[in-house]
Formats: sequence, C-alpha cells, structure tokens
Amino acid sequence: MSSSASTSKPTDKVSEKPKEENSQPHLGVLEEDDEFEEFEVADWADSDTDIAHLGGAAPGVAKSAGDKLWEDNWDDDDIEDEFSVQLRNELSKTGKAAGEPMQQ
Amino acid sequence: MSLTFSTFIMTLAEAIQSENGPNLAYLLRPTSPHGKDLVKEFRNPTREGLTARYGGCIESPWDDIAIRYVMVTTHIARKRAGEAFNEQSQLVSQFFRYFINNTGWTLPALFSMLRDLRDLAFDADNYAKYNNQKSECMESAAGVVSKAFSNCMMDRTSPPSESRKWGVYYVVGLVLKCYFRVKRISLSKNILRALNANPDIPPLSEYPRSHQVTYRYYLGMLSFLNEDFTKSEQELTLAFYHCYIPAQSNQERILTYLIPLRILRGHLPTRDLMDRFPVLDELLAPFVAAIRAGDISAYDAALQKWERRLLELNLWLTLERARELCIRGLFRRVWVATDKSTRIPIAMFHCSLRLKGIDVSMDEAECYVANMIYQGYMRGYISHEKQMVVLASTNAFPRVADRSAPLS
Repeated sequence: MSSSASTSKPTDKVSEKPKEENSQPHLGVLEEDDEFEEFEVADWADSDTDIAHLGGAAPGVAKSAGDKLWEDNWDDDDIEDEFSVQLRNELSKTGKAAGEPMQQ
Repeated sequence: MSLTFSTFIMTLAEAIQSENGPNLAYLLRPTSPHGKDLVKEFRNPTREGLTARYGGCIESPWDDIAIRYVMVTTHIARKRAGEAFNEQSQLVSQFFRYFINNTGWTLPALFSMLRDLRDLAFDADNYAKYNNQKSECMESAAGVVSKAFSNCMMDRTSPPSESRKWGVYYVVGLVLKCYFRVKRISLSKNILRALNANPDIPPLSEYPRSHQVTYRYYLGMLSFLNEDFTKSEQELTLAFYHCYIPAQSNQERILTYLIPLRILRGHLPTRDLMDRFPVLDELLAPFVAAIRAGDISAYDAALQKWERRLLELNLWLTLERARELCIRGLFRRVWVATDKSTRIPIAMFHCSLRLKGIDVSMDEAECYVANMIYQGYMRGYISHEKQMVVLASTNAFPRVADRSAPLS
C-alpha cells in the first residue's frame, strides 16, 4: 500500500481551468478540484497524530479539559475600547431617561 | 536492464506463489519501470495477438491479467485514456476471479489496482470533457470498486487475520471518493447501508489509520451535507485526531469543516491551531476574532468578504448560523458595561446593535434578545411592558460550550 505512485494525480489537470476574475483570496488546498489525498503510508503511531495535543483527554473536548487546540472560554470582562466607552455613555443617558421611550 | 514479458510472467508467478501482496501490487502498477519496457517490447500489441501467443503461459486468470497489463501501459503511453480505463476495468474484473477464492493476501494489490482504475477514470473523463465528449468512467469505476467491496465483505473462509474483510473500509472510502468526484453523493447511501448491514467485520479502530481517517472524513462530509451536524462533528473530530500530521492538506480539508462545526459548539480554534494552517487562518480567523470580541460588524464584513468562497465550500449557512455567537458576545458586553446588572433596558441592547451598524428597530432588537434567551445563550426573560430584560443573577451568559444540543 505504501509508495502508491499512481498514474495521475488529481492535481495535474488535463484541462487547466481559466483563471476567474478573482477578488477572493486564493485558497490552495480548498480549490474546487482538489480532494482528500491518498496517504503515503498505511498506518502510523499516535506520535504522528494530534492525539498528543489532548494530554490524555478524549477527542472532542477543549482547552479547559486538556486540549490546547480549542478554547471554550473566551469571555473577557476587561475589554477597554471605544465601544465600551460608547456603551457606558449610552447607559448613563438611558439611566437618566429610564421609563421614557428612547429617542431614535 | 529492461524486463521482458517472459521475465515479467515469471516474476508475477513468484509473487503469487509466495503470496507477496506488495510485490504483486508493484508488478501490476502501470507506473512501475517495467511498464515502459513492455510497451517497447510490443510496440503495437493487440489483446488477441497477445492472447494467441501467451494465453495459458501461466495459471488463469493471471495470463489474461498480464496481457491486459501490457494493454493498459500501452494505452497510457499512447495517451488513449478511455481505452486505458476500459482495459484496467477488465484487468480488475479478471483479478476478482482469483481474489474471491483466496485469502486477503492480495489486498495491497487490490487497493493499488483500484486506485489506478480511479485515476485512469479521472484522466479519461477529463480528456473527454476537454474534447466536449460525454464520459462516465468515474461512475463506472465506482461500480467496479463497489464490486470489490462485496468481494471483500463476503469472505467466510479465510482465517480472521488474513480475511478479505480487512479491505472493506479502504474500498468504501474509495467508492465515496468516486461519488464525491462526480457529485453524485446521494449514491453513497447504498454502500453505507450495505456496510452497516454487516456487523460481522472487525471494529473500525482495528483497521490501519489511513483507512479509518479516509472513511471518517467522507462519512463526516456526508453527514455535514445532510445537515446532521452532531454526527459530522464526531466523525471529523476522530478523522482529525487520527490523521497523519505530515498529510497537511488532508488535515486542512478536515478542519475546513470541523472548525466551523466546533465554533457552533462553542469551541474556538486556538492560535496554536490556526498558525499551523495559514489558509484556514486567512478564511476563518476574522470570524473567530469577531466572536471573541462580540464585534458583529466585523463578523458581517467577514461574511460578505468570503461569501462566494463560503458558498462554494457549503459553509455559508454554518457561519451564518454562528453569527448568533457573535450577537451573544455583543450582548454580553452590554451586560459587562452595566456592571453585570440583572435589569437592562432593551434600549441598551438596541443601542449596542446600532453602534455596531446593525440598523434595526427597537422591536427587532427585542426579537434578537428573545432569540438569544430562547437559544440558551442568555438566561432571563423580557418584560415587554417595561421594555426591560431581566437576567438571571447567576450565570446570565453561560459558556456557549455548555448549551445543550448545540448542533441540532
């Protein structure tokens, strides 16, 4: 099964697609004609996979459970930016206007 | 030193005698060096001519297989893609006659032949398309590969460790790959039904990882396209974690769908992960950043920028749906700005939307809040008369990952 040099690879096209008028950035592997590739080897060890990132956790969890590839707690109470300021300004106005309909 | 047909036959006989699967695979691969030698030896062979001369020189069906091999390599050398494909189909059919009466020792050769068959179908269809002709070699290849599936499945005599059943998942992966190529994905149901109707095969986890990962990738993709996101996320997760790290582009393909699904589940990809996949980083990082910041205008800008690509990838709806997470982030910021008050006027949420350029009426803003509560992103209720949102005093904005049934 290894070293499977086949007669053709999906990547060498018989017909080149005409280049599209492309405003979208180019996405190499995600181009339409690409597909899931044949693996060069049949089998491999855990150390050749991302299982190592799990730190013993089961696949499907996130950082808080030991998988450093995924983050399941990103809420930040300390963002200070212009938007926070705008929100608080609005809040003081709304506070004063409580009970009255908001002016658009 | 070039290899003659007679030597080729002898080498073939040895591989069969010693049940050397990898060697058999090598001998029957059109790209192996001896393929060229045989093309030179015969120049313009016909199958009839070769059969008259060499038929019976080795135990059937190997004589016919060897002759067809010469024909395949010749057609390839002469750039006759359609003929090469037809000859390879016949070669595989002849091979089945041996395959079904023996143990699975020939599996490496089977895999290699089917792969070549599929590649030849790809070339033949492409060539025909280029010349504005109709060609359905890939469908036809799917039929041959499905036949191989049955032939693997029906092994009732081989000892378990040498069973042809060890070929089942690889072959199913190849059938699915054929159907995906010709966009006839609904045909996949038949083979999956046949697979599931046979509990008498070893567990998937005992197969080589290349078989597991390819099978799970296609199963995950099928589930994704059928909008069974829960199943899709499970299969793609396993495909990703068992994937061979050097197979970067396969990992990237898996993650293209896994990342949006996991975002919906409330698991954002970390920088560590994104840095390994620059293409996905470029496509998805703007969405992730917008969700983290609750920045709905940035989110909508990303949706707009990538619209066409997302539609092509069938990811538009998933990321459109993940917009909810961004709204949640926005509303959570309102809550933080009120020092986590339990009573927040709808006007505040309305205002946050408008500050971010989402030009909606007060009623629509109320709908946004109602939807957030209904979906489990916020805990509380709306007092419509008082135009007030009353939030739970604890855990008003649960972690997205804690929502029940996030993908259904």
